Amino acid sequence: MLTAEVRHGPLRAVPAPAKIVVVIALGLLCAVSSSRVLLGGVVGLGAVALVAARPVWRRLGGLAGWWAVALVVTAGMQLVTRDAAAATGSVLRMAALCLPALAVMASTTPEELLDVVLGATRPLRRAGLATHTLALTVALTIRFVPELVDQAQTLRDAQRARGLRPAVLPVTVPLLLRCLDRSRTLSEAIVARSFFDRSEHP
Amino acid sequence: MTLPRFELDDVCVRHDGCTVLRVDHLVLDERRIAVVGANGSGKSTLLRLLDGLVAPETGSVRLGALDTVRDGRQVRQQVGFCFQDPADQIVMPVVADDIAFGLKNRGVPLAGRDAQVAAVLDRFGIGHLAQRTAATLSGGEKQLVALAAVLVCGPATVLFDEPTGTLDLARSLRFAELLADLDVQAVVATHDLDLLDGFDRVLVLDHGRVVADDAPGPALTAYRDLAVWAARC
Repeated sequence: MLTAEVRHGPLRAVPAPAKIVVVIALGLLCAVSSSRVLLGGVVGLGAVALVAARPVWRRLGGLAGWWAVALVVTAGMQLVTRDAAAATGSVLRMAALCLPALAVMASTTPEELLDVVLGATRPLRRAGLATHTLALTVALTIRFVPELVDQAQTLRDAQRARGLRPAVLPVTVPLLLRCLDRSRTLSEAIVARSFFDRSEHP
Repeated sequence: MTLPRFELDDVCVRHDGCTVLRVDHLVLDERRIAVVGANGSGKSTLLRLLDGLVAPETGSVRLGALDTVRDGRQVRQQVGFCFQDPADQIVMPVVADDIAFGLKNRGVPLAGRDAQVAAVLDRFGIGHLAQRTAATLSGGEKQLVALAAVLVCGPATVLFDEPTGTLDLARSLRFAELLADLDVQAVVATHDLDLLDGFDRVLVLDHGRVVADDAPGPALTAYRDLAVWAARC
């Protein structure tokens, strides 16, 4: 979801730091409160915000599936160990935590999220931490995870084509070697694109 | 228009004890320069020298009055690099963010950045890719995004390392058209000899040495002779 397309909608115009502060505040509120009215209100607000974020619904499909499974399992466990009221409360709390977060993810680009991370960690620079490098590391992780998954699949296919049974180690070793090779070129590209030439990163 | 002038003097690059490139004296100041040669002949190393990504063991590489190693920062303000696999140089997850990456590193304010990104996307006809993730792009789309990300910074020179190596014929032809239209100096390392139509100069490398340096006609004849000789050995 973090790397999904971000469409223009009412929530897109809201600054990313404001959205993230609101989500954290709502999350804390829902975590400590057991008021059904409050949880229901946040669920409603989250649902409206998600629609307003205009997400690419088909991309939400997989995530929504896992979320639904988690909801059903949680509700089932609460029904077995406690009662229907507890199950309803748990379902409401989970929905209240997830829906606003999904709305923010759907209306905020990874670049904006990284800028928020950079802004929030600015005080750590005084302690000597290279926060812009940390942010770049996060961006690179988001950027290359899908490609690593593709490469692992290609390696599995190649090994099947040569009559090998799929196994973890024969895929992991060449994948690691490819990653090392790519990291060398990637580091050159980052230098060539002047990342380390700036004296001050925003 | 005065073109950038690269000057290499007594340059030697070694890797694991082996000499991978040796240049006594070389001046590059033409608009279109190609570098051809067998795999491992030193083409990529030569390009990396010009951008200061590789430091020579001896000698110097200069862009005008700038030393590419000592003044790497200023050199990279003027020189863009397109890597062989465009996926290697797309750093940010989303296309528009990646094109803005170089501008951000150069301190361009947000408003100016957005306008320049929109302009370059429009120039290459890839505005529809702006919010796509890099992982979902085809090889040709990645090539265009990588080139747009380099050109948006307004370099005076662009170095291309085997730019058509991963492209199909149609995309290669499209790239050749784009290259012909670029109003900057281009140094292109390639195996694709069809790309060299209209080039001013071709360097032929063999085992880390410049063995021919001429206009495309005679230089490519020398390269073909070299390849035929190598195939017989």
